[in-house]
Amino acid sequence: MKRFLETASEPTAWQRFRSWPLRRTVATVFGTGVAACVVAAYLCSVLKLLPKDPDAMDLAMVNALPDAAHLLGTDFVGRDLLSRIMVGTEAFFLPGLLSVSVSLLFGGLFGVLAGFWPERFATPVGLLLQLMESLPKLVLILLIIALFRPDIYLILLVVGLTNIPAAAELLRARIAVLRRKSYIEAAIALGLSPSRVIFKHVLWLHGRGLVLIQATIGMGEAILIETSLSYLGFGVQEPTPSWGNMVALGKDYFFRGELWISTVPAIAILIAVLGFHLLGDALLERLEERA
Amino acid sequence: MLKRVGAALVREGIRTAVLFLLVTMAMFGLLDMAPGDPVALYVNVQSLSPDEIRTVRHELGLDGSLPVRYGAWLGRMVRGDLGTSLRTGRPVARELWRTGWRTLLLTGSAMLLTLLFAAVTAYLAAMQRHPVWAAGLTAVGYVLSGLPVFWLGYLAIYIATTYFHVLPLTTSTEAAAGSWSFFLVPVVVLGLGNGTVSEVTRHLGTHLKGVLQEDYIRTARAKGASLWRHLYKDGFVMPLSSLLANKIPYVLGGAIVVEQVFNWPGMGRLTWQAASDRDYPTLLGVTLLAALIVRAAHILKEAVQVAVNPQLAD
Repeated sequence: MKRFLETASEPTAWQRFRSWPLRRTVATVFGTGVAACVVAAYLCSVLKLLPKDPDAMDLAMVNALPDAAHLLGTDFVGRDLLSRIMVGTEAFFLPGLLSVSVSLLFGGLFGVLAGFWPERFATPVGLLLQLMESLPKLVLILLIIALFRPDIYLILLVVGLTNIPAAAELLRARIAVLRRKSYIEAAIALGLSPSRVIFKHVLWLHGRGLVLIQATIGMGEAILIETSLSYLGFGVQEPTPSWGNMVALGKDYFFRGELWISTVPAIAILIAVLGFHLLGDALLERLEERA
Repeated sequence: MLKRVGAALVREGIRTAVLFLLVTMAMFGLLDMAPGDPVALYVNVQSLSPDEIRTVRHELGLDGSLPVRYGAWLGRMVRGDLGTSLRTGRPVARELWRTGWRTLLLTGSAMLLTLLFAAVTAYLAAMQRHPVWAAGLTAVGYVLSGLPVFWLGYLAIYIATTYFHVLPLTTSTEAAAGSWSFFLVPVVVLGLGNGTVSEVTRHLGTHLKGVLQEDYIRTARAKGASLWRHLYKDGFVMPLSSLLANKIPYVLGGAIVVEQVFNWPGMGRLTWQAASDRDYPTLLGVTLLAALIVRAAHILKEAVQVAVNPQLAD
């Protein structure tokens, strides 16, 4: 009897996880692992728990391939690449979180306005979002860099602002569907205040998955933008390491056939961005399957 | 159909005009907030006396209130006067004209390559006939989207010069811009490396799967009719046109990086140089042109979608 009850009851979280397709399991595990590694590398860098001093030069050991002393080799003045990769997470970690928070905060606001009261807000919000979308991000960011010479936090704040339309549209579409569900209408009919319906029943109970997805995607994008800008020479400047300016520094050696210096940070970017993308996609797939 | 498309074009044209007005207001606001004297956008402040500067300021309408200044600025811009580049001293409009078409060609070709890659991958995945190819291409798409486009550019240059001897290492001359390899390598790098490949593939794949489950597709299959003839409109033309419009800003942004990597004399490189030298008249022109390109892609999308699906006309 007990066994029968067990099988008939709701599957546990672990059982649900086991029933996922292999692809999604791999993507989720890989993505979570990457996110954990990035956080760990950032914390190590802040707490100065690095394998080597990232600024210490060693001219007897330049352009070295990986060995026991330098796990990822050294750059053209003999600085330890592993330590510099770890310090490089500082360039995007907090600014990236700032960017994600800004896009989620305002994206959520606009998404709720346009999704919950479409007759009143859909047109003006839609126009505002189209306005923001019609400027290519990198061009707008470069214009702001030229006008104000901002630091990396301000730059990624602007990146967050440019990400508002995507977040708002995703939430708006979801809320527009929820708005017509009977339990939301019931909650409104029962006299619950709009703020309670929106925050508890819409955003918390049915929207947190989407918010999490938007956050992972936003973090991946923040890494790409930060590294691109630092590569172009507008973001984090040498000697402070960023994965972007590390690739740029290895350029001359790359064309001479010493591919390693540029490739290490490039692969770090690849793994981090891929991790956040895969995690976001796997979460989105799960959400779509449930809906 | 022509009437529907025409109506859609008019509607989108009006919306674009409104957006353009708002974009220029935002630009003007930014410019107004920025440190520095806006007169410097139009004349060389160092070579003129204070009196002359005052005259110029009055002529340009820069001494009025905010709406007056905006009106004067907008009026000059509509006539095609975007000011002169602080770096070269030449009119910004001419610089844009000189470089813009190259970037448009690069961006357009790269975008087509992205869509082609995504369409093939998504088709293979949705039809489930070649699962190994589909899985392989999907994985390649993910890796390409994560790799930074500048490193991909380095790799392409390295391979092209070392193994194929097609690309000169420094390609800064205008003459080299005509050769095929000079054009092809950046297009491939930007098309595959702009970071949207996996997302476009995923979006298209989900869409195709949905369409393949429709009743009319099942009927077509049962009849033995050409699947492609029933699939291409809803399965490819509609999603691809909207993806084209949605992703063009990303590809334009990627073009800045790619042109920098390849030393390509286009608008992206102009943007980079202008940002380095704080040459804001040029950057302002680039921003407005880029916004126009994005809106043009949007209008194209609307026209295509209304032509394919009359229900969208109203």
